[in-house]
Amino acid sequence: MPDIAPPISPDLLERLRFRFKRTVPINGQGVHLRRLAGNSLEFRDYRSYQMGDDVRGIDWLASLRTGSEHDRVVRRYVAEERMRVVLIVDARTAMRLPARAPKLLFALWTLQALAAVAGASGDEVVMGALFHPEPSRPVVATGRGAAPAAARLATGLWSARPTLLTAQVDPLTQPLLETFRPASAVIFISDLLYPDPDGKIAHLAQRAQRSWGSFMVIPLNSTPAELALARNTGRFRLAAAEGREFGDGIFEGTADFDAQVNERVAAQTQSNLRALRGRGSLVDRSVMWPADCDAARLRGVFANWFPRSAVLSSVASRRGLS
Amino acid sequence: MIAFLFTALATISALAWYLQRRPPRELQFSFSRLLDPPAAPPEPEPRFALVLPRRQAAFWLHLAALTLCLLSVWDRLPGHVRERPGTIGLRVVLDVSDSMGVADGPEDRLSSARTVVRDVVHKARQAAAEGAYCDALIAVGSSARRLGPVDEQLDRVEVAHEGGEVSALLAASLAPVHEDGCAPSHVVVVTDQPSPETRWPEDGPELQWLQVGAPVPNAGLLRARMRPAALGVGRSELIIEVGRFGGADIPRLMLTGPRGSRSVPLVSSIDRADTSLARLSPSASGGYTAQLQGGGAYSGDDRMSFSIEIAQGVELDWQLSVPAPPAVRAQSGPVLVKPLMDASKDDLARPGVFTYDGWSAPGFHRIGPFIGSDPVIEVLNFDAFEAALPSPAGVPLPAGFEPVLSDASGAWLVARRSEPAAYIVPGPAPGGAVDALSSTLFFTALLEVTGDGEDRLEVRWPGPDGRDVADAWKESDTGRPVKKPPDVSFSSTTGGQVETPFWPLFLLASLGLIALERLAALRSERRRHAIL
Repeated sequence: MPDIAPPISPDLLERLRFRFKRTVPINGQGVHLRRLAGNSLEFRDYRSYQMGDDVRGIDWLASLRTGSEHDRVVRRYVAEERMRVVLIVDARTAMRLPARAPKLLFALWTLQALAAVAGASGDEVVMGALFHPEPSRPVVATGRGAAPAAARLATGLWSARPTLLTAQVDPLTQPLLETFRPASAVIFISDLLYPDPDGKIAHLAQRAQRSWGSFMVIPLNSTPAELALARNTGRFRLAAAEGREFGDGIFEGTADFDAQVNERVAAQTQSNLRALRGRGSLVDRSVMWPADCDAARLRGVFANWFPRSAVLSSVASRRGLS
Repeated sequence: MIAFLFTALATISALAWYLQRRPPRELQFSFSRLLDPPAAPPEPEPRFALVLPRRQAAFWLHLAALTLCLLSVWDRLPGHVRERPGTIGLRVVLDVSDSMGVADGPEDRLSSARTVVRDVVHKARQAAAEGAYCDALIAVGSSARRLGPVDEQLDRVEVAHEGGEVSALLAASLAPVHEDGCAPSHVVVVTDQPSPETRWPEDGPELQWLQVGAPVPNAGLLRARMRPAALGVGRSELIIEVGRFGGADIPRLMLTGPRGSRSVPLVSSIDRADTSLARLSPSASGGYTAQLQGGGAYSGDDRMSFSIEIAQGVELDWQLSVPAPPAVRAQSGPVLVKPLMDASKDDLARPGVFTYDGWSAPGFHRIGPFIGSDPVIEVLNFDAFEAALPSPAGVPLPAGFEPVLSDASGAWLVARRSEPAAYIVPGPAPGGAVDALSSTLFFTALLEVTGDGEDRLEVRWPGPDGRDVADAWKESDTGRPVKKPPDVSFSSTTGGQVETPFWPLFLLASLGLIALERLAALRSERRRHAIL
């Protein structure tokens, strides 16, 4: 069993959280937090207008009272103390591929790291999985309890007996939908290759973006590594997968095959992304698997990607911003 | 050969296994759902392809394992040859017989031998260098005594009052390894005896024979013999042998007996130039001591004591009608003299001379088969005997007897038995024409049965210090030639070359490769099943 714990130390996570808390501009990343500014906030004080502040926050009367023609003051509100971050992992059996560097492992590392950051920020963290072979209620944790809860969930997801690759599994979005609250930040970690004939996942994304909520996607792309395996194998047969049978057909890992796969993968990814986009959606940059990726290299990929990810800055910078 | 064939067969089988055209490997991709099945169905292909599976680690591991197996059963595979460190097991066989006490130089022979032994041990230790070394000292007089390490025991060795022999030295040299565990690679014999011409075992330890001492003249009392009076006729004779070695002069012999001392002249032996004999007729029984004056270098053999008993007549059980000789005493001696016709079965079982009447009628005119070495035959003049050949007894030969002399018709005339000694001869015919012939035949047979041989006397050699020297006659020859001791060297004491075969290593490496291949296969299998 591989190491389920994320390859990033808790100390580094804490430092990242503080860094993003101080440096991220309010109109840049952190969409879901900016959208929190609304009637539900209490007035706190005034301060001078700064480049990047929302012009709708300018108190014109107060600005006139300051006497200077070019001085503008904006109203500051007391931020909402507790936010809800929903972390959703795509737990399809296909996410356990490629075998040497499974995408599910990367997704679970991300889940645990984000839960730790959000929990440390005082957020309420909800964690769940789509396409889970063993349906269960989403896990809700708060504060410092988020990280251990995330670790338990990750271990449970990894240890769960996977369904056959050939099976078509329902995403079971309803339990997660019930956890959404206004202004929730929903983060979805997936390779975006899932079938969604009934539009259940698209519906889930749209529901997440209602009521000032945001829906962030972390795409995982292991295609380079899997194509490298196909090239190294030469001639091969394909195992049946997610309702598709290939019989005794022989494939060859050629450039044509690569082109066909890249085209199909891009089309499917874009198709799913289109279904997920909305007013409050944010798509992080894809995490790319190196060609000769194994578990050790995957840890390096994570350690390099996570501190720079847009989702991390969004989650970490929510406190104290208005 | 069988192992080679089996391994070759396994190699061919492994090659065939790997040269099979296997169905393409089945892969799982996360994007499989998005792909279309290939349009063209796979074409059937031959099962075997002469293409080495170069990218299969298992193939190379198996091939290497089988190659190592083949090498391990190859009988001409050379091994690792290395020099074995030299090992010296030195066995020092030291002669401690009485003659080693002879002082024929600045020191006695035993002291010279000690010096030689120390030198030998020193050289052996130097030759052993980094190799193993052990030594053992064996002192040999009349018999061998294991003493232990040379350094500890050499100074404790003393001259033994006993005579030694070369055979005892050789036996000690070849004796099996003692419990001390010092297996001899070299045997050094230090003695005053010359090296014998003997066939030393080819696979035995290296033998070095070092002779000490100098050839000095010596005369010694060797032995004493007693010749009793024949049938009581004549006088007993005492013969004392004196050996002279190294050009020793004839010494003077004094004999002390019950009736006093006297000088006995020594006469050179006719057949042995280095031996002198003293012959005399002792007049009384009792203890005698012979003493040499001017006995030479070795004094242990200059005095000899013995005891003699002079018999008075011969005791016979004489039952012939012919009167017995005057010297025959009593009528109840152990030897029976009786006519064959009157002898009972019990009589025939006794030692004796049995006669028959062979001279009263002429016999066959020619002599038949005979045993020439028999004493009875030796004394006969065959011409005279054939001229008056006795007639045969005409009875079957009693059990246990064998014919000694027969006539030309095959009938036996004289017969004998070895145990108990007995003869059957024609009886004496006194006063007739064959008086002398019949008496010669009869009394020669009687002499043989009653015993006329010389008796070697039990003697002892009292040494100068009063202690007896056992078998001192063996030590008398102190004039033997002495060879210059060869230069002792142990240059050929290397342990030789030792060849360590490679095949066990190859076999072990082969097993290791097979285990490695299995381990890799297991890990691969586990990894595959751990994901899906």
